[in-house]
Amino acid sequence: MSFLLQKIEGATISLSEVRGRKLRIGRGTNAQLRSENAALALDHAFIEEIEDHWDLVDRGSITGTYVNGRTVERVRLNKGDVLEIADLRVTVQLADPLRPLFLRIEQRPVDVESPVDPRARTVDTPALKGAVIKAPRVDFADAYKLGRGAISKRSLSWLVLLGSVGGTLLFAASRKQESFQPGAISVAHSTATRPDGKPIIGPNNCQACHDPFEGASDSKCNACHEQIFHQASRAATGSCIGCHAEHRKMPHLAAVQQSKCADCHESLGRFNPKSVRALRITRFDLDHPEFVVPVQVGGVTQRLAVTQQAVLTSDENPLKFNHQCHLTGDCNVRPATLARPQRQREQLTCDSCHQVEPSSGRVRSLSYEQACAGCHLLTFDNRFPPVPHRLDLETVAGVIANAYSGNTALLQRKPDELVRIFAGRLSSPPVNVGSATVRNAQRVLRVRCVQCHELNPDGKSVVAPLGARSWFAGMRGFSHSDHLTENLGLSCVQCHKGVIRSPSSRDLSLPSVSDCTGCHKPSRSHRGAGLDRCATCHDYHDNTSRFGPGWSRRAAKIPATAPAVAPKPLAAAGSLVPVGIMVLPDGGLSGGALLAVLAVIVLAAIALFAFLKKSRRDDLGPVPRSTVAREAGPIDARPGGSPSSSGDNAGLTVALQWHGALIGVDGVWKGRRIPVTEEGMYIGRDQQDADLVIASPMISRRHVWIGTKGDKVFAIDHDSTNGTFLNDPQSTRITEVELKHGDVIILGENAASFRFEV
Amino acid sequence: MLLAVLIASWVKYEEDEPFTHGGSPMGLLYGLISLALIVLLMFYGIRKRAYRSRLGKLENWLQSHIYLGVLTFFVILAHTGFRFEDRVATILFVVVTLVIASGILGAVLYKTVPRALTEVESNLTNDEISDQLNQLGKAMARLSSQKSDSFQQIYSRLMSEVKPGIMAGWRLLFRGGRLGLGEQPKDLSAKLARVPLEEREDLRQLLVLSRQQKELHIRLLAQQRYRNILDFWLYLHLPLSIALIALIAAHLWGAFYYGKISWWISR
Repeated sequence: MSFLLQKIEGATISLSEVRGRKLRIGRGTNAQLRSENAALALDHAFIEEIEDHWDLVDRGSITGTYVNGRTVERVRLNKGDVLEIADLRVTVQLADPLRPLFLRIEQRPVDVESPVDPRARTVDTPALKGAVIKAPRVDFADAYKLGRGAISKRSLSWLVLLGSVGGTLLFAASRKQESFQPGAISVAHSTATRPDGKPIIGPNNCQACHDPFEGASDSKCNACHEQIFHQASRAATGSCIGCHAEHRKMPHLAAVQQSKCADCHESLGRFNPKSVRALRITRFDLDHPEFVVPVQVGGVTQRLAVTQQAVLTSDENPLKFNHQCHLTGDCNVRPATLARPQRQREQLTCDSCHQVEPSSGRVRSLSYEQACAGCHLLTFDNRFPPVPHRLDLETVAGVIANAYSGNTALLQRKPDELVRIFAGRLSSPPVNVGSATVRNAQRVLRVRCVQCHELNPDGKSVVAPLGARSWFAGMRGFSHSDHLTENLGLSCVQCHKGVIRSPSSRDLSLPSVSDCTGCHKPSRSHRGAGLDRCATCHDYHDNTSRFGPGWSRRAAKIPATAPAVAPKPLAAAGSLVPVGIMVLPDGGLSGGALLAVLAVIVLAAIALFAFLKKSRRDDLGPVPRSTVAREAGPIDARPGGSPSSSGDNAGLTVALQWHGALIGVDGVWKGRRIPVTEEGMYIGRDQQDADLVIASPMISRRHVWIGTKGDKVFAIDHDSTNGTFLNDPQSTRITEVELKHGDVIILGENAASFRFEV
Repeated sequence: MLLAVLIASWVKYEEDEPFTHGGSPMGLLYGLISLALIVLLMFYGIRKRAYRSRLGKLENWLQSHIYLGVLTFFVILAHTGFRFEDRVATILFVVVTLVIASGILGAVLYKTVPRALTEVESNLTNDEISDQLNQLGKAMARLSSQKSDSFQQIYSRLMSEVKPGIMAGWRLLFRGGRLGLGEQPKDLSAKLARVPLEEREDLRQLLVLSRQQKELHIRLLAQQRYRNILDFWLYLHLPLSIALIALIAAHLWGAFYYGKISWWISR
């Protein structure tokens, strides 16, 4: 038997016949009674002929099959029965077992909203007996998305933006120092106070050093510290903060990094072409020039290296002293005195005469009383104490005369008092200074004094010796005590090598660079760290100024006193708090270098993109061109429109390998169905390049390929300009994606779209 | 490759500069590079919405966005000189780290979740499932119309069990396997017993439809949950990126206000 289907579409009525014993109803392509409505399952239900009647069987559909308003699973059909399946309304016009089953089919639009009924209510209102219920329409798909209601990406972004801006303004405005300070400041700056006791740089007082948008300038430093330059011959100097930068975990700013010196002295000639000595000093132990001292050569003062012969015997001190005799010879016997009648031999060492001040490390100036008087007594008569030191002939004569007259108290007076007393007394002495006394005094000068001194031409006094001298003018004070510690094991003669063999006071035995490089070289040990730094021995600021070491404190107009308010202290040594800095010293970044770096970045990015694009094309590979797609006919409920693999309708079925079809959803192919072939097809704008042509400027010439790979169907974008999207035009562009039943392929900006169905 | 260049430059920088910090010449350079990278990364959001753009494929932009984003972290780290005392800068670094971490999380999710989504995905889209749910609801409403009060109460209860509720998407995300976010089904035995006899057949059909509705509902939740997982990281990534812009502005203001940045070599 067969089925007669009368389809009504508006004013159009069409009649078709379906042969066979079963009429399939569904959304699948093998259904004879089809509809695209989503509520219709692929294989929703069927009507089968059973001997003398027809049965309607539901195939377990989700939305159900209704007959005369009631859901059924299997029911016998009678004339007048109204079948409601999704949007299909089927009326049984004739159910005569001797004739084909005559069905009238109406396809009505899906109406999820029931007609308005004044008695209708939603599910949330209390139930009334017998009331008509109106089901609420709920967009389930949308309800479970994240970006619903108040919490969306946009609202969160606004909230976070306002919060961060507001928080930054509120916090930073009131706590600028905490917000932007990259590290604590030095001890001196943090404790310095004004005369009234208020701190100079207190909390939140960045303007004490920083000018807005100008940073820390020298003018701020000069407000407290007088500026003293490096050398008079300087060609260029950096700013104060170039060497003394705050916020660097430096308790004392005076401790300057080695690189600050080396940056200039590595190639000093470019700053000071006239510099002859320090053209290139990179490291003390490598290329520091030999130490030089000023010596008189031919009446001209020259600065010669300490190793030069002219220097070794250039000490013009008129004092006579034989180191060799005193240290290793016979000049170490104490003469007998009234207090010590016996002569006494004594082993002399350097520190027997040369005392080092523990605080400064300097060697004290020699004094007769401390170094020489033990042996070199200015005796004139063994019955009397010796004459005081540093007296001239007149004074010695006067003292001797008084001694012989019984006034031995003068022998205990200080030399300058005695000189005042006896100045000019030879011509008018109050005491009889006879010739014998004068001869006695002369003997003291010519026998005792000349042992160590030169006599003046008048024979009445000795040539005054030179006082303590600093041989290395450009050097910070050398600390002997630091070098003579027990730990280092150094002795005087290791630096002053020639002293032991020196018979004359003209000998000058100074250390050379090679004597110092044994320790003053780069070292990783704790003890040796930093000894090679220039600042270990030299001061940047002119040390010959009136200020000398510690000039900054003396130069400060505001003395450092006990702070009334203690700002945040510097982190203790060994603490784990690192310090950063935002202040950039002079010597910034070249604009050209910056542009070059940015250009390299841009070029690298372009190269990366090109590489990725090329590799993507290689992956695509050549895709065989398919035959021109053949349209399979319009979509309707007419039978025989699509092949099926098997079934009772064998006479109307064609055995084909079915890969699915594209149904036009939008665009010029809307409503059309195009089967997907195994070799695939191109969709594009160009008639020669594309199998399925869409004449739209938003479509590329060869936009996308759809075909099979293995037993699956894929859509591969062919580097289209406006892209190909899957299901959602807002989603990411596809490159290659497997198509599933129901997927919608969108080309360009909705220029065309197809739904893929299996 | 770029990372190797960065590391090599850092090693040289640390040798030459004993106090590495953001204000040193190299530190500034690192900062400028990272700023340029951040601006470039921000352009991805613009390119994503410019469908007609010819500036390369979006996929390439995405890959570059990920790789350059990771590189940016290391460039910023070099810029800091590994010193974190400035509070605004430290907070900025933390935010940058969170942005990049959330981006990496997103990349990992996009790599792993689609596979799981494929396993739970049905041949129906969520919109189609939603239509079918409404169809079933309509059918249930039609069955329940003009029925007894008990019947309609059962209908109300069954419908409330699939009602999404407030912030359903977020609750779906965090409740994980405990799907079915509507009201928990309660014992309807008492109500079932009060339904008149003549309505029992319709009641059976109602329950059948309700079961079908719940199965569909669970299927929709399973699909949507994975989609939400793919989406939620953006709720971190995007707002933090916006905050990043504000903090960068604050950082730059502080640098210019308190520091003198000379752009030319002075000697």
